[in-house]
Amino acid sequence: VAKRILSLTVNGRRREDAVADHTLLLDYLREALQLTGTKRGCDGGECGACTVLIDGAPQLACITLAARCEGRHVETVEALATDGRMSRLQAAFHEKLGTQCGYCTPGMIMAAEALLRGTPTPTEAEIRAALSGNLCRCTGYVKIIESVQAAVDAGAREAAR
Amino acid sequence: MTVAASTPRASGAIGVRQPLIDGVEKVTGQARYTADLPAAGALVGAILRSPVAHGEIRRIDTSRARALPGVQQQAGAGEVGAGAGADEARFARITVL
Repeated sequence: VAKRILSLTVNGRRREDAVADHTLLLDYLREALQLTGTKRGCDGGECGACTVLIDGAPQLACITLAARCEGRHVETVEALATDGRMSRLQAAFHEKLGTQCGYCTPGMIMAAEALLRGTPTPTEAEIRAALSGNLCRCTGYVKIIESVQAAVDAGAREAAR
Repeated sequence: MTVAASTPRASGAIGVRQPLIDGVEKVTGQARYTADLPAAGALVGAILRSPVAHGEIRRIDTSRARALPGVQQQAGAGEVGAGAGADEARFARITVL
């Protein structure tokens, strides 16, 4: 199997790893780096559970080759909490019960993270559009939307302070 | 990494959102699901599916697969049978299901 040295940044840390040409980003993250917060759901680009950020844009790790991430910045859910503190989105998903079984949660949070970085005060329609590629089989989306809205509100309160 | 919970204070249980006891682990990606547990040394299975829907099975030649290095076992209808007592066949025998 042909391997190559992949140079990239994962969660702020520069790395060089030997990966096979056909290695999926999802397997690279979960198996080589043990970053199992990124979930394998449908394994076919339909459910959004494996959503990560590549150069800030939400991408599906299960249909992205690791080799395509040469020189790029990959961010996973593990990077969001800093100094033991949950990010605003993480705290909101926890407090507003946007997570139930939790399997879709990392993907939901990463998709929402990408939205809020570009659009700090989105409308509900914009939140729904940003999460339209992420499936949840537990909560039925209402609490998920509420959680993102709560994070937006918390950000606005912090900015006004 | 452990992350501290910021649980909202609640004076009573009724009408109050009660965050999940494992909610912090779930939102930070630390929660371990079965698929996240390490399985060092585990054997890996691969399924060969018919390229023809509802095709007639004349023969299945697995000799090349069995000859691959590291292959421990190959199983099909010939090896495990149709599954006596089971209400569904484990492997197709005559036609592809």
